[in-house]
Amino acid sequence: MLTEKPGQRCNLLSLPLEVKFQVISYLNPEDIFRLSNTCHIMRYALFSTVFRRVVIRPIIDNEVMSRAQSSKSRNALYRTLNKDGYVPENILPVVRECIIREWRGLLLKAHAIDALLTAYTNSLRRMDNIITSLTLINITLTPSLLLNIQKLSYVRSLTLISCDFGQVTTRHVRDFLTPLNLEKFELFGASWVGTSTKNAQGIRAAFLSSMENIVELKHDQLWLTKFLSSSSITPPLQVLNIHLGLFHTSLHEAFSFINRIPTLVSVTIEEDNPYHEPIYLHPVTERISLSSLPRLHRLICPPRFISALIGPHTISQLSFTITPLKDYSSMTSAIWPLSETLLGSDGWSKLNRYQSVQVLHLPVGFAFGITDTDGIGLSQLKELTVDAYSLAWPETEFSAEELHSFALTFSTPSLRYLRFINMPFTKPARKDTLVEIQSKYFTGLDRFSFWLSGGDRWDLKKDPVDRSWKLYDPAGCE
Amino acid sequence: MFTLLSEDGISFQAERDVLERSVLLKNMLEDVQDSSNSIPLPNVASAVLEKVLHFCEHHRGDPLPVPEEDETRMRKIVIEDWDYDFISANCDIVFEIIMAANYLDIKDLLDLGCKYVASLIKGKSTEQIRELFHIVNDLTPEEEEKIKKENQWAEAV
Repeated sequence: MLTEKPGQRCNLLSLPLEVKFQVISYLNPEDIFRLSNTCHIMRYALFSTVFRRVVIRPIIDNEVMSRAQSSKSRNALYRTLNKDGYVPENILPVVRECIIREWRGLLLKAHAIDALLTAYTNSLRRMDNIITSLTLINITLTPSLLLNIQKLSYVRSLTLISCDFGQVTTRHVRDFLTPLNLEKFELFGASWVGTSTKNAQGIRAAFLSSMENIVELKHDQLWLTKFLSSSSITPPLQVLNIHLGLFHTSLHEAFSFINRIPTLVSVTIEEDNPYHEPIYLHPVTERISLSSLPRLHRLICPPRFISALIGPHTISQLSFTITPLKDYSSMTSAIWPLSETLLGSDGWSKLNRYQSVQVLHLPVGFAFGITDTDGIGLSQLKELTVDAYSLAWPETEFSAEELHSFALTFSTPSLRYLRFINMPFTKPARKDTLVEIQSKYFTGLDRFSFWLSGGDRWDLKKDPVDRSWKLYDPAGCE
Repeated sequence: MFTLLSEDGISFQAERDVLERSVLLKNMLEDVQDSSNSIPLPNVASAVLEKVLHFCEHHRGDPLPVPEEDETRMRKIVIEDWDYDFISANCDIVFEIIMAANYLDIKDLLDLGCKYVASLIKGKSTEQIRELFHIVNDLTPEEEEKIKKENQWAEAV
């Protein structure tokens, strides 16, 4: 492949810059990074792409580390560090996004971590009008860190994951947030353990007052759901991901908030489902009026929420999943059978509720409960995932009629990808049955996946050349 | 029918709707009804032009691709069967095809070439990429050391 021939004059390096950029638009950061290390031309061409995002991690050399370990006070250590910051000068002008991460859990005292983190982030003070996105992961916020990042008035996207608010006051957080005009905000796993009640209230109020222009909001904070539902603010939200607590104390608030944001395009609702807890299937009595969300195209929610969805819609991506996906091995008491939940819902057992859907993820009980009474078919469906969790499908043979009806309902000509996941089978015969369904009814597929709850997975992709099924390699063409 | 003249003096005949896959040729042909004069393409060799016309003939009448709205997001590599067969059969001149598509402004062919090259790069190490594309490592040990230090700050390390 790519052997040189006499007439060949072009190569990767001789492509014009804009064409090189078009090639890398299909590559992930890791691939671009490895490509940038090949030679001078590529390094130069890709430098601003590779360092568009910098990550400030505690990569500390031995000499500094031993000083930090023996230091007695923050200021004594800080005086010995490089005040200009540690990010190389030539990188600074191309940085647009900054990630500061993993500065908790080091084998150092809190004062030493603060001194190092402050010194490492000092360069950010000089980047106040170029950084548009800031992400802090696993950090104990301190006054001096917030001071270093407080003039970044161009930041539109702020992400705080596993941050500890125990060392800062309302004033520190407010001074940091006030100059920002946030469009995107994420807050997950915040720790409030060491925060006084007064500061916690003040900090939360400061966050709330920076929500006015938010377009994308993702969080797992019950107080934020409550605040937003009762506040007069109606942000122009398009993307909302919320995480509800185990006992759904804020379900009512969350739904009433969703119902009054007509700009929403994508909504994801997760609920806690720790190991060994039953997946509760009690139908939800609150309602989300889909007709009040005319732009909604993507909805991801737990299966039992199906009874909450009423009214016409134009959703193209619909998933009924229990998160997180990898913890699917939870025990489930089928207090309410899935198909019964479906029957109690607003017509979701009929195929015409799914007319606009292109990507669909359904519990197996729903998939077998949906009927095509009008023979209309799903003209847009491209990807279908049938999910058995670990439970809902006891080890029984499904009847031939059931399979036939399932296949007729979903074997639409537009379907390209069919996936069965969390199948609780131990006997290979069941797998053979599903493979048989695939070859009999779903002939237009390009991809077919079959995952057992025990861990075995088959991912098959149709070869574009000889149309035979081959094992799918995610590192290849995706 | 119109006649194209390749860089090495070979002429090719094609109909208007085939040539109009190229924005450059479309603009050139706008005021021409028919022409006995051939159109010279001094940047495209006959071996490449033949493949380019083959591609355009296959896609004649297809809707022209629209530019993507969001250019910052990583794009997915999706290649239709015929296109995959076409580009992989011509992988030895894929960069010539890309250059010709860029010069003639044939968006779907340029996209196809870029996707194919990207799919070759995916998942490969720096050394494997050098081997694949005959890239000579021209970095001195000092530069490699400097790059290693800079790379600590990259996201993808």
